[in-house]
Amino acid sequence: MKTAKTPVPGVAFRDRPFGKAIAEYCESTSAVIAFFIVLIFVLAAVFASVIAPQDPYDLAGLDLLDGTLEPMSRSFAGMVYVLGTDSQGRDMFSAILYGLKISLFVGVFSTIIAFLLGTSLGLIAAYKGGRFENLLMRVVDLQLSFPALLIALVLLVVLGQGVDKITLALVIVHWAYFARAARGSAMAERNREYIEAARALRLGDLRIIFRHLMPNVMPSIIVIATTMVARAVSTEATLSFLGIGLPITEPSLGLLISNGFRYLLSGKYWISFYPGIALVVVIVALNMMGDRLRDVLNPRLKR
Amino acid sequence: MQAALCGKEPYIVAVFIIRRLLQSVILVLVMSLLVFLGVYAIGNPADILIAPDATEAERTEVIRHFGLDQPLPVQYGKFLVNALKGDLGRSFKFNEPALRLISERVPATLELAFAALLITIFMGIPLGLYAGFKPDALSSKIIMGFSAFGFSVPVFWLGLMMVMVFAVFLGWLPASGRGETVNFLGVQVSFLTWDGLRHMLLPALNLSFFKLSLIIRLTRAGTQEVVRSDYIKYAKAKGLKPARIILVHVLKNTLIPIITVLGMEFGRTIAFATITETIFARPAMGKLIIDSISILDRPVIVAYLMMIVIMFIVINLVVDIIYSVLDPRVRLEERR
Repeated sequence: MKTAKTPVPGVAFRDRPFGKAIAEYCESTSAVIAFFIVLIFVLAAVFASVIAPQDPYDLAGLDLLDGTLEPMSRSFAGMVYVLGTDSQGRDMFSAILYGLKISLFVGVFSTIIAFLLGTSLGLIAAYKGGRFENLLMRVVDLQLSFPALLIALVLLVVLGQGVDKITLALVIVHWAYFARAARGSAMAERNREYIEAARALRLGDLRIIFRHLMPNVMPSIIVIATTMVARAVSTEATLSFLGIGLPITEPSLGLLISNGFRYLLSGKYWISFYPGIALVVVIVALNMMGDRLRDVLNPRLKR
Repeated sequence: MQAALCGKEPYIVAVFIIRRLLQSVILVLVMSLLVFLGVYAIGNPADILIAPDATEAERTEVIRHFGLDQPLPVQYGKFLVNALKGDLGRSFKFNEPALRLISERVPATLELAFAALLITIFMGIPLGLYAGFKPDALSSKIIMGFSAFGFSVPVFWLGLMMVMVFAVFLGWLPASGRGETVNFLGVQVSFLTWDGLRHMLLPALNLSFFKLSLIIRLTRAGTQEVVRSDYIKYAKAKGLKPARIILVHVLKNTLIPIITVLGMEFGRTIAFATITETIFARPAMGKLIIDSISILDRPVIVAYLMMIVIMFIVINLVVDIIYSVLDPRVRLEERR
């Protein structure tokens, strides 16, 4: 999805449904800006170790004399700390890049698993119907009646801290949204002629579900997936801020903000402020992309 | 079909309510087992409770005292029996009944939640009405931009920014604590003192932010729909004053979905209060649970989670019942 997003004008491309969606997406300037912001942040996270002027977690490279320096101040060795340093003399810019990597990894990875699990279950439920559908939708309804943050909190109390644990908690919290959306869209598709034709050809159930039903349900799922990454990043940051998400050894943006909170009260705002800005910009940009994708891909608005 | 149902109406409603009640009781039991097993599977509180230099005899004595030597099913059985008597165990840390610890802090959370709800209603509805009436005005666009922002930004980050701007840089309002409290009908409240109100303003604003954004959107959408309807055109044609049209005709018809959402949002507010209370160091329920998690104070964690679970089950039950009374389709679906 992301790699193919470079706008290529040209009639043939625009006429294909995929090209049409991209062209339509690009009509909104703010959505294009949001896409590039997300792209830059993703690249910055992936190449964090290359871009960062300092390895923030190599204790040998840190100098306590450089502790809590203001933004743009110069270190003893002559390096400029663009966004200041924390109490241990860690360059905040580097710490943010590394934090971004962890935050985005948890957000994207948990959304992918929740997407696979939720969509499959939702599609099977819609296609098979009967008891399985009833049971699944009961569970989904029950789960969605509790706030996501509360469920994640309970799960983390039980599971403990760690990247794997928070990913698992986010998957458990978010799969239900995918299941509900996939089932909802598939309900409208399951009585269409092409499904009937596939059945008449005696294709296997799994083949019909994943080769015929799924592609037609994808647009609405993609919209949800975009917003879910934003939500997952936000929830992880919140839990880490509360001290029950990630351990100190995995400093995500939320944890950086949490560590800087003490210093915020004494006026040393930058330790908390800049990681917070990075977090908010990512979340808002992802949401803007999601909103635009919903406008472009929503079948109800077009057909 | 409709006529056939009419005579059986009260009977069907009763069956529906009884069935939902039973389901809720089973749900509470299942959740209690899950919460209990989950919380008791984590860590060993003996390691935290007992000083490292304690003798072996002291160790076994403490473990026996807290009942940690019993097998899990026995501990769960005891927990259930005691829970029915209103005893959810004693806090390891405070050595006080967990339920009392929590209920002492309930007023602080509730007054915050209500303050947030009031801000939501008295700011959200007028702003939403305005944006609905003048969708093209610049001020409406600013309101909607604010709403979109409040929708996507994490609550804890907003709280942090509030602390930074209003407490640290400007020094206008305090950033932590509950302020002065007075005794009101037997509970300590802070909304009756000036100092208490000052301490409540920032957290309440923080907690209301998401709801505010939601209510602005809802009110605006409702208003835009109602304004186009025939009876508003008729009211205008009749020469009614704009104020009367807004307050009576438009507001009344947009309020129904808003009230439903606000009712359901209340539970969410209690859950999200954990974040706000942690940021503003407010000695309330949500801060207690976060503190208890970090020191593995199992009885308090279990008691808090059980209270929250029961609260949500009750809210859902009440909403379901109200809907079943108002909307016959819900019951029919149930009977399918």
